[in-house]
Amino acid sequence: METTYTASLAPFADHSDNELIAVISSRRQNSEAALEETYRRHGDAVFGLALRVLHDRSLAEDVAQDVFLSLWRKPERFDPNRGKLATFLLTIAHSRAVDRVRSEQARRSREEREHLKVVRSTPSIEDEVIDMHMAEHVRRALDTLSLDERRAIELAYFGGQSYRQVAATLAQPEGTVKSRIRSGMKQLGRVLEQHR
Amino acid sequence: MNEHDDIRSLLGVYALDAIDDPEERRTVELHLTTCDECRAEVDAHRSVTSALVEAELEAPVELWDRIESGLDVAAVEPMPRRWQLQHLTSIAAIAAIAAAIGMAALWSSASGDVTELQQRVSELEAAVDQAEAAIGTVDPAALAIEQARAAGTALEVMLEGDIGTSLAVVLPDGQGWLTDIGYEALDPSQTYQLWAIQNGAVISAGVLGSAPGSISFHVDTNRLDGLVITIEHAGGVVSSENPAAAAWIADA
Repeated sequence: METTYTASLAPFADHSDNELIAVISSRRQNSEAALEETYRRHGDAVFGLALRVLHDRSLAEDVAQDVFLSLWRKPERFDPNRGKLATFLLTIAHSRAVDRVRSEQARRSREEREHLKVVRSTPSIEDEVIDMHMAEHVRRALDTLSLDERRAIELAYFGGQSYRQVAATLAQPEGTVKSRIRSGMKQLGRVLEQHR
Repeated sequence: MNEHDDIRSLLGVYALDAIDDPEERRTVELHLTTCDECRAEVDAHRSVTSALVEAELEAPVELWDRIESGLDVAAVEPMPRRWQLQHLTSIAAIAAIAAAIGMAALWSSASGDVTELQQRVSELEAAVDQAEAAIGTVDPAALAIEQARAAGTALEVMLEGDIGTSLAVVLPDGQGWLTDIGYEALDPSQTYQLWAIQNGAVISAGVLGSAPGSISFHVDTNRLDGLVITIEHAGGVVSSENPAAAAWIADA
C-alpha cells in the first residue's frame, strides 16, 4: 500500500532524466507529470541559483518559471550528448538571471542619469546573504584556484558581472580576467574530474 | 594571435554568461556552431558551473503551481522566434564557419487536444470560404500560413538587421514565405537575395528583387540553421562576399 501511495505521488520517480525528457517530448497525457518530476529534481537548484544571482525572490521565481516553461516548449533543445539535464537547466537559469541583472543595471543607470533615484550599491563579493551549500569536494576544488581566479569566477558567475565589469571591480586588465576565468574553470574541471 | 585564439580566450567568460557585448557573444556563438573543440570546452565549463550549484534553499511551494498554470499557453501557441542582431557577421564569414553546423531546426509543435485543433482549422477554413465568396479571390500562401499557424506547425522567425525586418514562415515540408518585408527599395541595378544556412552550407534561397513584396522559397527543414539577406547586383550571385543585411540564426 505504501509503495502504491508513493508511486501515485511520483509516478516518474524511477525514470532517468533522459527518460523524463522523452515523455515530455511525446506530449502524451502524462507529460505534465514528467515535467513535474523534472521540477521536483531540479527546481530547488534552479531557483537557488537564480536567487543567488538576483538577490530577489520574485525575480528568481520568474526565472525558474521561465526555465521550466522553456523546457516544456522546447524539450528537444536538451542534447544528452552535451551534458546532464541539470547542467542544461542551470545554464538557462543563469543566462536568464544575468539578463535580468543587466536589465536592472541599465534601468538604474538611466535613473541615475535622470537623477530620479539613488543608485543602490551592487553586492560585494563578500556578500553571503544567500549561502550556496557546496559539496566538500567542490569546496576543495575551489581551494585549488588562485585567489584571483576564484574571485573572478565568483564575480562573473554568481555576481552576474561581465568580464569587463569584473576587470573594473578587480582593477585588472580585461585580458587578464578572461585568461584567469578560463584557466580557473579548466582547473576546476580537472580537479572535479579526478573526484569522479 | 589568430581568430581562433581570440575566440578561445572568450570561451571561459562565454560559458559564465560574462560577455555583455552582443556582437562579441554572437561571434562566439557562430564559431561554436562549427568548432567541436571549442563547443566541448564550453560544455565542460558549464558542467563545472552546475557542480558549483548545490543550494540548500527550497523553491517556494507555489512555484510549481505558477509553472503548471503556464503550460497550456506554452504548449498551444506557436513560438515566434526573434533574434536581435546589431552588427551582423559577413555572409562570407558565415559561409566559412557553416561547414559543420550541428544544430537542428527548432520547431514549435502543437500540443493539447487534437480534436480542438482540428476544430480550429475547420473554423478557419469556413471563414476563408466566406471571405473568398465575398471578394472572389483567395491567397493560397496566406491560407497555407494561417492553417499552419492554427495547427502550430509553422516556424516563424524574424529576420532583423540594419535594413529593417521581415517575417519568414516555414512549413514542415520546407515551403516558406518571406512577408512583412520592411526594406527600402534598392536601385534597380541591385537586388535583395535570401540565403539559407543548412547542412553546413550557405545556399541561395532566392533573389527577391529591388523592391520585394511577399515571396516564397523552399528550404530543407531538417537542418535549417539560419536565414540571411544580402544586397547584390541585380540578378543575384552564386556566392556572396557581402555582409548580412538582415538575418535570423537559430539558437546554439
